[in-house]
Amino acid sequence: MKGVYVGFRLGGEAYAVPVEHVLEIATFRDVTRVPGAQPALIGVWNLRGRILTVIDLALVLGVESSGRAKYLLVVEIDGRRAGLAVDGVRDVEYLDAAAEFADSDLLLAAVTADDALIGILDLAQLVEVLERGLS
Amino acid sequence: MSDRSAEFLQIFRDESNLRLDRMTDALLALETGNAATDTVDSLFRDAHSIKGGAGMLELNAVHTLADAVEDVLARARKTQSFPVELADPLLRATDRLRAQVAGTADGGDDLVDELGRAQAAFVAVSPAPAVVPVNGPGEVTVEVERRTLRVPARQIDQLLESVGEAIVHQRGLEYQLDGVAEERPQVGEELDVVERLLDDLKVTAIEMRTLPLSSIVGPLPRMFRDLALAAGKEADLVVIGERTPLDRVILETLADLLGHLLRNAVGHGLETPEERRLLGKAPRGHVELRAEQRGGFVDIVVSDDGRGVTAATLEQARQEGGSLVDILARPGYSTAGTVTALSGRGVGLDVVKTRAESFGGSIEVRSEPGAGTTVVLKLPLALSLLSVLLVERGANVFGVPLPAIQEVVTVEETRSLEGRAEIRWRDRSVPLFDIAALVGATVPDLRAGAPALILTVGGRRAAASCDALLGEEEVVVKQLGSWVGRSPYLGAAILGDGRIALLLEPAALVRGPRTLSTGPSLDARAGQKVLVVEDSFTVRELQRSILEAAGYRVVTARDGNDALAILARDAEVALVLTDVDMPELDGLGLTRAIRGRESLAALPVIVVTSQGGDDDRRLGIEAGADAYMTKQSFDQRTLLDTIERLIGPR
Repeated sequence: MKGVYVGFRLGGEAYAVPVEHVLEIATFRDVTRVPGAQPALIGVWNLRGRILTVIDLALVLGVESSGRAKYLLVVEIDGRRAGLAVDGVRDVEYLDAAAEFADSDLLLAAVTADDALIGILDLAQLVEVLERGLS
Repeated sequence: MSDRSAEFLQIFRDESNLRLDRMTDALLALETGNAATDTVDSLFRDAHSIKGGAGMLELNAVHTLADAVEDVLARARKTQSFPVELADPLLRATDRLRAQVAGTADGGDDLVDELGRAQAAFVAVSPAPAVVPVNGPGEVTVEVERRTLRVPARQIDQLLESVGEAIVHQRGLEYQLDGVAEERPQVGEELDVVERLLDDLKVTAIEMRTLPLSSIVGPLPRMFRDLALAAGKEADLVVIGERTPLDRVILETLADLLGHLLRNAVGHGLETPEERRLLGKAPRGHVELRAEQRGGFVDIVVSDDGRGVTAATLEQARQEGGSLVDILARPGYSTAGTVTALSGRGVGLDVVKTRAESFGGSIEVRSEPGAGTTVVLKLPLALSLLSVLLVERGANVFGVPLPAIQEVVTVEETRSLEGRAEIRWRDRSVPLFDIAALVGATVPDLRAGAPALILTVGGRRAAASCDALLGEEEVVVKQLGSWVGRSPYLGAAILGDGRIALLLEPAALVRGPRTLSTGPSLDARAGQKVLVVEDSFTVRELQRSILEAAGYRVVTARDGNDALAILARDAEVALVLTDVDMPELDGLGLTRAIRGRESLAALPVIVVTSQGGDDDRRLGIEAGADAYMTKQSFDQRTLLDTIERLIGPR
């Protein structure tokens, strides 16, 4: 698991996504709720004239979150964009660590860096799950 | 193939299609005796040019068939006669040529032979005395508009999208600069100029994105003729308003929709010539296709002077709330007593309705017993732009397409009937819904005297109440994306102040609030486990939410194989609810597989199908299903009762 990642916090846990999928990091505000949509979808956001779907990542991952996301991680995979609601952003970091087994469909792997366990998010899988509707 | 020859091929295709369209029209005119004097000449020239081009490009099959067509026409030209029985094989030859040119067919020998034999028809006709060729072959050029550019459609879509965005941002600027513009008039003037220019740009871009209805009408007279012939009907099709512009994307599906409507008109609407005579009508039926632009929308009207619906159907519609469309579009409904090959049983109208609504349009049916049927499709002029009324409810702004709104009223007094709220409007009772309830939002109650929109969609009427009206606006429709899941939304739009308005589908509004819970209920973990097998995401999630709301636990599978894999590892599944039509292993196969396994043989299976035929029921029972439901009679009560009967509550 060698590469450059954007690390972020969700509840008390640490996660990361490959930097090439991250378009920008925005402050979480003015999200328009979409009543009736699947629970994993917090709402939609006006990203400079484009409609961005905002995902409750904590709910998808089953993480106990603080309930107040502070940032939106705008990611793109296979031409699809989404805003992931996260509690904190740790910065861009170079990770070079042995991949450990991750017991989740949504994680590519888990790595240990600076004594902390970091889950590497599988964005393709996340898209797949959202497409299906969260079970 | 080099770029150069690919380019030639494309030019040849475009040109040939133009010529084939003209040939089809000419042949139909000859067949009905409405041809101009030079029709045969023009046919001959078109066939000749297609042959020539095909020869150059070494498209041998096209060349051979065009040659055979040219032969027949040369003879007709020489004898100055056109035996009417030639029209049919020649029409079929033009169809084949079109397919060959498109690359979807290659052989044509059968038609070449047939055309050769058909020449016998000339023998019976005495040759005309003299023939003066008007035009030598090969001298015809297609009328090419020199100042026309060929632009990929995608670029035009991009242009309109960008113009739409620019308009949104111009409004945003206007909003931000509101105070400044008051102090400095020049700012306001500049903003006005930009607004006007953007509006011009928008109109031009829409014009580029739209095409006249005539671009798809071409094959319809031919199809209509074949339909009438096959159904033993005599009928004329009249097309009015061929130059009406329509969105390119809508046009792509409109040809199919018109096909459905014409099929219905011929198959169900029109009577046979004998019947018509007995009824005192002209033996030839009359079907009209009319298109007309009204503001940002286009009305497409298909009407016939046939038998119309029965008085009983009208009465049923009146009792159910006035919507003839809903009854006629119901699967299994047919106005003809018998199902013919021509018209599916109401399936056609159902498709038309769904598509029209997905474009933000609507459909309405009017019919009088004995006097005919009229179907009105109302479609937006440009798919990406929509005129809406913006309303506020709770924290959300919603946009409701203007054509659905009949009037805006103030809710002074509500009454309740069978527990449902109603208001009086023009001496009628109209069901009243809160927009928040319609979309499933949790918000504070409405204040007294709140505004309500009187909506009419497909003959069904309802009033939708909200907190406040914000005004009319033309918005750029953006997709919400598939992640939103089943929802009453057409899309979303970004407003001048940067807020996002959710655009509501009018049909969903008049249907009333969803009675289902939208998310899994929290106590769902306690109940028995049901396996839902269904390939459609929407249906699957609908069934899941019904079951979870009733306290069952739900696992889902996308086809029979998927389901068997789950059953193999999850012994908790107490019941299987399966669709029939699925890829890979279908529902009947799954049922048989379950019955064939010792450990599963006693597992209750409910089969759900989209068709309600006795055959399906029989097949379902034979396969070993315990219960059988059709999607059209699918309501949550029946489903839950059936499940409870089979495995008990939760």
